[in-house]
Amino acid sequence: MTETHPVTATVNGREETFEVEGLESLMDVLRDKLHLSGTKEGCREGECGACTVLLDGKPVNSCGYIARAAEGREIETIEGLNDALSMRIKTAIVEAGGIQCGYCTPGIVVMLSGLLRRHAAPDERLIRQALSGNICRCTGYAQIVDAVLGVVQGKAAAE
Amino acid sequence: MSADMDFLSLTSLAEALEKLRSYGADAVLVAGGTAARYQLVSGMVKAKVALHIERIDGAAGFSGNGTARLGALTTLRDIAEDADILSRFRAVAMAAGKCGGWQTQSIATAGGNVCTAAPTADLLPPLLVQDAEIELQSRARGGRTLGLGEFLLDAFKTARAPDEMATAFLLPAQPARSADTYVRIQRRGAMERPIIAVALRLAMDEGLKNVSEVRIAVSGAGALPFRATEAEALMAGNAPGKEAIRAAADAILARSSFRTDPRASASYRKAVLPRAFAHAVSICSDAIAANGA
Amino acid sequence: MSHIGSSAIRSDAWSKVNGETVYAYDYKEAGMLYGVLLRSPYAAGKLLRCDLAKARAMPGVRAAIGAADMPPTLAGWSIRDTPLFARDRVRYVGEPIAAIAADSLAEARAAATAIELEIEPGTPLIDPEAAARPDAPLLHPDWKDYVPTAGSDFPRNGNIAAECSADPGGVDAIFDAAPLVVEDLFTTQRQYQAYMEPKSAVAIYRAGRYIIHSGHQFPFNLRDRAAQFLGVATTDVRVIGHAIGGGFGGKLDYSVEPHAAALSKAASGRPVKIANSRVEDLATANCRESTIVKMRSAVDGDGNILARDVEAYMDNGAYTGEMSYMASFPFHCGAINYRVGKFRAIGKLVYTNTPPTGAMRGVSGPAMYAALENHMDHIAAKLGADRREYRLRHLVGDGDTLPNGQVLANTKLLRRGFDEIEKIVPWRGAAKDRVPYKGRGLAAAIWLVNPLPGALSMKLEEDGTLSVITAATDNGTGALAAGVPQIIAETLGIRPEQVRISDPDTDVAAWDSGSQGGRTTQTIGLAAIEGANQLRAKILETAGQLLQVDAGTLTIDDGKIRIEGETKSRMALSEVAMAATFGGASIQGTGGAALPAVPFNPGCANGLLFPFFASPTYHVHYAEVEVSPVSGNIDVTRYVVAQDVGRVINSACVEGQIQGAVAQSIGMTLYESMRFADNGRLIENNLQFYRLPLAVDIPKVEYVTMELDNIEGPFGAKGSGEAPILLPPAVIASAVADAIGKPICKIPVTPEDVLEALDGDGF
Repeated sequence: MTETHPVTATVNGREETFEVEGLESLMDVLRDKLHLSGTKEGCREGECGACTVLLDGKPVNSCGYIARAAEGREIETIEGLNDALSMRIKTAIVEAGGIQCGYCTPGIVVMLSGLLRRHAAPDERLIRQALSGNICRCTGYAQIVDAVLGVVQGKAAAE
Repeated sequence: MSADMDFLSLTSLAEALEKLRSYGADAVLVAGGTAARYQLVSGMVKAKVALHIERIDGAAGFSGNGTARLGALTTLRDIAEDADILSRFRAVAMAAGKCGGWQTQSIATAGGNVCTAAPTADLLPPLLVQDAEIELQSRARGGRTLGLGEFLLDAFKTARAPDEMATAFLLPAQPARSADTYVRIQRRGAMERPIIAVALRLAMDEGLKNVSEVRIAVSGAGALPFRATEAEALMAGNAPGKEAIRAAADAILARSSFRTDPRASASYRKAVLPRAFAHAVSICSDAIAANGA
Repeated sequence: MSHIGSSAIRSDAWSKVNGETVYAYDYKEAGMLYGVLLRSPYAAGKLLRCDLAKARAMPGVRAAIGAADMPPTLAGWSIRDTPLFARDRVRYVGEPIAAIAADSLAEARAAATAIELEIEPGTPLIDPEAAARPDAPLLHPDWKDYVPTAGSDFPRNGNIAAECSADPGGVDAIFDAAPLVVEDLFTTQRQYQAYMEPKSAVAIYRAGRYIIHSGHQFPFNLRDRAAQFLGVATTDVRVIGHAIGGGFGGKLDYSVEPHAAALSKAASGRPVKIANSRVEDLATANCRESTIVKMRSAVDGDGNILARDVEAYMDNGAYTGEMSYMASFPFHCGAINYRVGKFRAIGKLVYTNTPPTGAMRGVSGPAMYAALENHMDHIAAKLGADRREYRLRHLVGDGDTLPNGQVLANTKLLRRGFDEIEKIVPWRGAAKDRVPYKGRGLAAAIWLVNPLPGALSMKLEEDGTLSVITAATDNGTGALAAGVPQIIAETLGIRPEQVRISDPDTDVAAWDSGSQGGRTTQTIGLAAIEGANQLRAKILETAGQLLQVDAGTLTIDDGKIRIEGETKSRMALSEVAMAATFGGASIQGTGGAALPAVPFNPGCANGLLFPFFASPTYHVHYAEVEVSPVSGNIDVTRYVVAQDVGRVINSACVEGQIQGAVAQSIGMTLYESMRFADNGRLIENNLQFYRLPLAVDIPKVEYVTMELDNIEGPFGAKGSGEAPILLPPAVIASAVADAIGKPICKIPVTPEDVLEALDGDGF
């Protein structure tokens, strides 16, 4: 058997300890060891963004991130994104019809949560730039972008 | 893959330098790991221990009037969005924002981008045109600085000693009446490595007529990005008109070599480089004119 | 309130956005082994030895199998030409040679490298036109022995895997006498479906049967194919479907499922999962075929097209799959949209030493319409005519026929498409309107809906909700997640969220022809109306007995029984359901549908395996582009669609189909490229090189849906998922040609093409 090492990190607000091999990716740990399969495997090359999670609040591709480097860090996956901002994003995407096969959707929601935490009112150009690392093959992105613009405008109207 | 490799997460520079002193060439430095993990998994880089330096305190950030200091652990996304960098070293911010997606930029660092010395590393051309220096520290010998051109030896090869760590980049202030830019030729709007990239820093004389100094760095036209010094010399003192641009472009081409890969053909790279260069000159000229006006 | 035309939220939206949906790639079974395939590193060669002994002895290995462990059977969708594992020769890079199942993926991979393999490499045939020459070496020396999967044999010959041809005679004479002959050669590359979920399967051999868990667009086809490969009776295979992370035609035939099934049997029934890596998936996917289309027209002085001649080569890859049917499309689409005199066509599907191609959304349409519509541009240019005006002058009308003799109706929608676009963006095709580096293109299409049958059953649950059992699948379009529930709700008088649709299970559900050709909303929608009407009659009958009134006086409103003319409801649906269920039998209904066959001329062509365009629809697209004189990059700055949809069932879903299909097709036109080196290895072999369009690359599409009463669909709906992919190559190539003043005859259109054309402009 390959040697494993214990790693302790906060995952979706809960401290978790898991055994990790060598350079094992954070994605494999989340999917196979913590059974958080909402983090999707799309390419393992860092090209598609389906595995995006928030690491200390920043969006990263978990497929390329060394799980052992997550020691002591805070990880948020789609399963844990239930804050008010994330819920607004999810609701907007659902209502805009920005979901088809849905395989890219969790990664997109995570990315957008990261974006809107950093930039409260991104314009369409910034939204599209931020989403460039998340490939959606079904929607052509339009209804997703519309949904985010709706969230931004809704927030502006509420404030 | 090195399944039995040790992995040490470090929190201070002193600790990192101490570990580097003891492991030397057996160690690999890992910050965000966006390049390092791939290199280790694929066997491109072999190491007995990975030193995880992502969380070292005080090695990130941009500061300083006059000569500026860019911490080696500053992430590309932070560089891309830093208003100070954008206004003072525009090409550096532009390049950082074009390297991979946000998921990569969130954790990839300036130090990692430069020290990996990949042929298409985005920060190299804009730092080269600023005559940036890299600051290296070791436990045994303390700190030293090295011009970036001297630091880069070949693709994936640098002058970093096995016990050294890059801690910062030093960027001298830009002259008056100057502008810099980064023109990156790529197929899609993002998520591409550059097919050809040109970083340019143009400074004009007082009448805004002639070039007082120009610095040109090119990637995609050789093993590593390079400064096109012959072209720079040709343009200095002349008006940046069509003839001067054409002569400079020819001088760039003369020391370029192009290859065909799945991204683009050598002939396309050759055709697009002069156009990218000319475009960079016009962007900088326009910016200087706009500022002067 | 009508549920038709609303933007009802799809039933799977929240589970998908929350990351709860379990896709096939996520699916696991207790005690599961991990399977890997050893794939050929060579595109052609003799397989001299494949020794699994060492691999079997490796740690953790539970099974290792190759051709020697399988029945000597060949399988295939249309012709049985495909072995499960290469037996004596390899025909493409990536062809499965052996399979390993082990306790872990790492152990399975390690064992695969221990397989002793000896291949004598041969010279691969990569170019379809070269492979079609009579003197080319044969990929399948035994081709004559191959048998069609069903029905009679079709025209095949050596490396020509299928051929469809039509020659009315006298065509050459017309060309010889014509005042103007316009001739073009168009090429297109393959397109990878690039569903975000790579292919995978979990298979279990249990009690003498194979159970396959997969995210599949067409479970019954997979059942057939797996049974063929495994050499068992059809019903010895059970396919259970899970959420599909995109398909686009790529998940209509088998992939790794039969290999996993064979491994499970060899591993004494332990469940075996095989999951493609992205690189593996890209290298072996049944992509849209590449094409070479030669198109000529004989034109008279008034611009009338007197004759057309089309010769097309389509890359079949090493095995045929569904592709035999596609050989009909050069015939169908070579003389469509616009009136043409005599028409001669030949479509050749050619075996090459490349991965087998297959159906992708809109099948051969994008390539054929790119050729046809740019050819029309070139004719107009030769005549000095305006591109739009020339098209309108020769547009087909009611009573005109397609090349197969099928009579067209409702062609006013085609003309209306041009008008709708004109309203949004008035055409400016004159030379004086030209802006440097900017261009525009306009093109039309007629498309079909796959007519194949489907059926379902439904039952009223005790709580008054409805459960539908079907093997139809939703690959993301919303056909089952939104469209069919809305159709049932409208028919029955309940709400869409009260309709629950099962995952497919071939042991449980009636036959369905899969999510292909835009058929699910239309055909399963029709079946659902039939089932819902049965249910409704039984509900009202039971309610009538309970209320002691004539069933004919009752109606269902928002899940409640009401007497017509009264405002207050008398009884909840759940009360009717309870009474029926515990009084004797649950209330159930069934329905089935296929689109009616269209009369056509059977003598119109030889080898016409795909005979007619069922439920035809009409489409017009418009694009504006801007090319960069610096990089040659092409930016689609505006895209407008006018689409015949019959009737919109769910507006958000229809929009999603249009936005998504146009994006996918812009990808094919500008970014995606799939080339093979001379040794048969894929050049764009990962997602860095195979460039999928990103959020920064795609404009928001402006669109108009055109509705017209249509008796062939539920509430008038027609399939809407395929057609919007047909025209982006045509209009964008046309617009780029307009921008640079030189014709574009290839897809993808690359910056290299643009710079080459602009060469001499200087920099």
